[in-house]
Amino acid sequence: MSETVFLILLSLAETPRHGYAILQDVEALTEGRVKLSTGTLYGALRRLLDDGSIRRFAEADPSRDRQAYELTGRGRELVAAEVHRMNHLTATAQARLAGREA
Amino acid sequence: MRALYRLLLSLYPRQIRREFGDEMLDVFDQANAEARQNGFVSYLRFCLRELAGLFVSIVVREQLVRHRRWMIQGGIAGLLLAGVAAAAIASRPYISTATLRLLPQVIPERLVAPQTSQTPELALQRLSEVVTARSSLATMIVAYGMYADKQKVMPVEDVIEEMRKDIIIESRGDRMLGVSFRYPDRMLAQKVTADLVSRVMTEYTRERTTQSSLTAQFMKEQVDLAAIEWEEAMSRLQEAEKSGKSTARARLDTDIARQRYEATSARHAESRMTESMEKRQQGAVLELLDPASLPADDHPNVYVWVAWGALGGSILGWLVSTLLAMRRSAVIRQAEI
Repeated sequence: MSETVFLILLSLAETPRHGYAILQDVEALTEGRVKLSTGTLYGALRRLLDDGSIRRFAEADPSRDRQAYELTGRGRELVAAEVHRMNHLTATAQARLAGREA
Repeated sequence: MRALYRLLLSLYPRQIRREFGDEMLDVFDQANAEARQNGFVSYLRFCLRELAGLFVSIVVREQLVRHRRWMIQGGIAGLLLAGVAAAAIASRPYISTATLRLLPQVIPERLVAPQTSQTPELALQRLSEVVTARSSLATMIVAYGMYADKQKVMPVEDVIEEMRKDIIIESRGDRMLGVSFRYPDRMLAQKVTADLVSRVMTEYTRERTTQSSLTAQFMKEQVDLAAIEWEEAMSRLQEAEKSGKSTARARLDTDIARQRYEATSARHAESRMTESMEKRQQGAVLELLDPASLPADDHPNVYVWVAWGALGGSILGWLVSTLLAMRRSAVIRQAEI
């Protein structure tokens, strides 16, 4: 999973968001390190929609014409798996570093 | 920036455009407004990021090449065809032409006879040979910086030979002479033709002046010889008279020598007149009737042709892809029925 996709999924893990909100949230999540372009964002959203990781979110207020997206069960599993993988990798890295220092 | 963004968006496959186009434009507008508020540098970064992101997304991720295959192939084919055609037409040389007229001598020929032993054809051939001599052409090639491409791939001698083939000096009816030169650069074609004409006229005048001077010089020598012979004959006659011998033979020789001297002197006088006439350029001269023409710029602009070719090819490719799509839809509908 690419970092971009992971960040988008992570952004949607908290609450459904529309495109611009995802851009802002990803920037906030990475403290300004990652700034997505709309092309990159919608390319990723389309692929995530296709593989069923996210779905279109039906707004409570239909007058708002901005489309929001939410995470599906599969998407949530993917994020969890990725977090697990990263945790494992982090733990391994820390253990190795500690062993070297000792 | 928005217009450019819309233009790039239009390159997306139709289905994706329909599904996400408005949404992407809406998000772009919001991000654009925010970037504008953060200063110029921030806005510039935003623009570059958006354009690069959209480009990568379209070309790489959306497989533009696959979706617009026919359009791209048609465009490239049209571009190549038009480029090749334009280059072929543009490589045709321009021809600059000048016409010279041979003016008769100012002084009537019954008063001063022209002194030339050459027929007009021979004179023309000689002129042509002198003007297209190796040194003359080599000077022009260097002076005008011509045949740069050929100079890279062939020896100078061959380049000179190539130039010689591009020069035409020909008789055009009674007392008319044509000088032509062909070259891919029309301005240079005109310049070189004008130079050739100048050389032809100079050479013609120089030839006649030199010939008349040499004739006058030769006749002067003949007069001097005839004078010596006459003096010797007169000496022999005087000796015969002093010695009391028969003077008949000596007197005859003296008369012959005198007549020869007088005839040679007359011819020498004529040659001097001709020489004088040629030096004053009152003999037959070449006059420039039509100066070197500037060929019309009828060659195509390669860039314009290439652009039209690419556009035409793209349109054709689009038509083909549309027809194929329609055919596919028809087949699917038939299958559904």
